[in-house]
Amino acid sequence: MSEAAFELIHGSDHGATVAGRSKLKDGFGRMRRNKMAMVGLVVLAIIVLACALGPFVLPFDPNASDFDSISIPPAFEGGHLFGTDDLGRDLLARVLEGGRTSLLIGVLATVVAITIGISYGSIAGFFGGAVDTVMMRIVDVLYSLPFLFFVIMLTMVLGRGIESILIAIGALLWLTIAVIVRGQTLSLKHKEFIEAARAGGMKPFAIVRQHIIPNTIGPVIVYASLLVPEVILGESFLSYLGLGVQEPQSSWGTLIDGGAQAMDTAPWQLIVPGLFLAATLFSLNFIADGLRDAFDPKDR
Amino acid sequence: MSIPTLFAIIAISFFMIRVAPGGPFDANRKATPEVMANLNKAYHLDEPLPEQFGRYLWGVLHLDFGPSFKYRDYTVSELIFRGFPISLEIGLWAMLISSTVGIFLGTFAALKQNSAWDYTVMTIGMTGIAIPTFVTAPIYQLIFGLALGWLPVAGWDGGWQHKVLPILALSIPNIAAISRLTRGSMIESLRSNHVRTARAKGLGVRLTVTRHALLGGLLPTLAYLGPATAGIVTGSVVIERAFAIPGIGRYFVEAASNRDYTLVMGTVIFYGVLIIIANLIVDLLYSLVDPKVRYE
Repeated sequence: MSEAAFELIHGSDHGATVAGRSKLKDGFGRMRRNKMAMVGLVVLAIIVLACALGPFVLPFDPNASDFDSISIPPAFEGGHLFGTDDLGRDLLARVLEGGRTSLLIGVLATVVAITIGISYGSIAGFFGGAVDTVMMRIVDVLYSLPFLFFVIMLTMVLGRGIESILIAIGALLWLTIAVIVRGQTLSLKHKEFIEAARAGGMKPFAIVRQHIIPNTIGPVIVYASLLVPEVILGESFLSYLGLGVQEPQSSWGTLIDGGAQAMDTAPWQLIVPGLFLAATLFSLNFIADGLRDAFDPKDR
Repeated sequence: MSIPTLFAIIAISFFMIRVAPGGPFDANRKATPEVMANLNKAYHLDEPLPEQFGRYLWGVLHLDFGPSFKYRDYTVSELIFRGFPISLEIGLWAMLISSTVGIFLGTFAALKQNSAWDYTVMTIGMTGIAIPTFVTAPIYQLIFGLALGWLPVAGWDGGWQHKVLPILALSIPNIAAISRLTRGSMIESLRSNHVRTARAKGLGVRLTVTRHALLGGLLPTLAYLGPATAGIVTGSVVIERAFAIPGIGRYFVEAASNRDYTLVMGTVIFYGVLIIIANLIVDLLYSLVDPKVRYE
């Protein structure tokens, strides 16, 4: 669990407020004045665009070896802006290709985690009683498991590859979201509009879906923005250890692993993917900080 | 709470590994059915699952994780206890350094809030969090090992030279996280009523901070030491691979890529126990420091 997530949970007993429409606008206004967050947004947009468009624009195939240009340092002439690796493949093309994998896993696994977390947390909070106790006990137990080790075991079960990383990370990272959503639900469920819905004869699951979940979205967005870098980091961690994305596919983690092995002869192979990963994590963290500052009732 | 968690860890690892595709013996060459039957019998793989689980659970309670499937001459316990002292040494140093430096930097930044010092500490904090250890470790090797030649690039002989870079690489992200957390809670603590009262009645800054603000401000940091242990354990896996240190983490990664199921299970359970113990210690310390928390 990241430090910010930790704060989010331990700060959640201070009585979270429901974000109304005007409050959302206020929040984005505050966010826009946060310079670091805006810089993060711009940097992230550039990286995402580059990864999305790069492979169509660049003249090099990320997987084509060229034995005439092995381990060329970064240079303008020749077109290899970030140099080549020990098989003569253009590093920029490879980094952008790997970035697609990393970013895609980051977003998709977050979506999986959010979906599980919201459903789980809102049901536990809304139904309360024994259901809540049992469900949250399960969360407590899962919380104390060493997360990345279980991801590794899960990928052993599911087989290595992008899909299994996605499922494994998503299936284990929903815990904090579930806790946040449950807290929100608890504070919401005795409000008048829920009572009104109940009195009007609405079914419990319909109330959860139509009234509870939409009102918990604010904190979930903030936490989701913290989750994306965590997922990207987790995926790179696995791939670095050789347990994640496998050849011929690549991600920033596999590129960093390859670069670390070639570092004494061709340090740029390590530095370029490392920079891309770090810049992405930096901007995501700044954006998440900005979102939290803008939407957290505890004004920092 | 820790007993059911431990049971869950053992059960989840056991059944997860059992549904994992591929038996431990169908790796390279196909054995005859008789040999397979004998192997399965020798490793008790022919018994019904609940019985196997009971046997495994009983073994774990006696610190017996069974034989390693890959290193045929060793038991998992032997491998774990061979690697553990090394991992523990690095981990404890990293924990000690990151908590002291982190708390110091965080408090310092909180006292000088919004000054250049504050921003420097926070920028370092952000960098430490955003750049993962598997990027920083090779960079340290590049700078201190290859370019400057001050310290060995990798390896392990028990000398201090081999410990400096791994401990540094393992500490930095935790220093970053702890200093950020401490800064936040210290700022809150410095604004609280009892601190204002202490200042108002004429107590000096130094005494106010050490006697009144620090204790309250460090509570969240103390609580974070549990998750921080998990972070160090996870980080040590990367560090041991990057610096070629023969600790548990390296066995774990090798086992995971070799599908050495018993070794993977053993290491995961062992790590789980470590983290549970760390959390327990933190909880106890917390209840000692914070009078609002009491365990019956």
